[in-house]
Amino acid sequence: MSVSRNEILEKLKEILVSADENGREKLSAVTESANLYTDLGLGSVNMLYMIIATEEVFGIRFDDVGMNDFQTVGDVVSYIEGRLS
Amino acid sequence: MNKQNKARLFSLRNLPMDVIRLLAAPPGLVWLRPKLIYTSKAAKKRIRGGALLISNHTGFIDPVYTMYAVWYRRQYFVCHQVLMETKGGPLLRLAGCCIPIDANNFSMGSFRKITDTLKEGKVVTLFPEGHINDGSGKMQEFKSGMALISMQSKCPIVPVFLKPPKHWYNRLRVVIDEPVDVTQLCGGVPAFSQINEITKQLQQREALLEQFADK
Repeated sequence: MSVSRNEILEKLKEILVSADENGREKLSAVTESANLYTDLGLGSVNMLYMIIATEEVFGIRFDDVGMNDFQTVGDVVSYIEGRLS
Repeated sequence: MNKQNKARLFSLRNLPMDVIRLLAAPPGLVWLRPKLIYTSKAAKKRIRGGALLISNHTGFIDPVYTMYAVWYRRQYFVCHQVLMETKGGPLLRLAGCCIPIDANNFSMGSFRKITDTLKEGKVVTLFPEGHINDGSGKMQEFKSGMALISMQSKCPIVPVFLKPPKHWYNRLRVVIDEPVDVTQLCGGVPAFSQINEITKQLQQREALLEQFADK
């Protein structure tokens, strides 16, 4: 399955927006450089939620990845891209 | 809730844990004389299949106390990885009753291990405060991971409140609440805010159990 980084980013945004309706505006404008913790205000449970949803959407497994292994949205996109290829 | 697998009554893998439980139970029963207090008839019903036990964390010996809450089932405890590196680590490893996690960098592997254990129909115990509370007896804020664990494994959460004996002549009091189906609380796929809300509700429920312990 070949999915571009942009498509991955858009799907990630969809996941985040559906999980946090209040932050729709902020999350819709997210770029790859956005920090997951400081810019998006995600906690470790939010990260866990995002990873579970991502696994379901993309049909991949985040093998033994720690929540702190990702700092930016771009890190998550790169990981998904790597797994899909 | 989905129908859960039944845990096996006997297996060689569980032998060390069973032996430790058998050896530790009689002196514990004599010394602590645990008093089990159920909040309702539904709470008194025996737990079948996978269940996530949550409890307040007052001291190192709490896992032993929670064993009395659901004495008829083996329990697996979510604990800090550092505990496995202490002197008691080899014994814990031998007993095979611990699911170590790295609290500073919680991994998907640990999450899967916990949910898989629950899906196998086992009872997993965790202390949602994340650490032993400060000694004041006041519960610390619960972490919300338990809600996700329960949703992902489709297992109910059983709140338990421990009131350890203050003096040697006091009894251990263990309050057991009825199982909570988290998926019913949020109705489908939850949002971040709902997960936090569920966590708050569970903490309030846990706090209410204290009144039963004092009765």
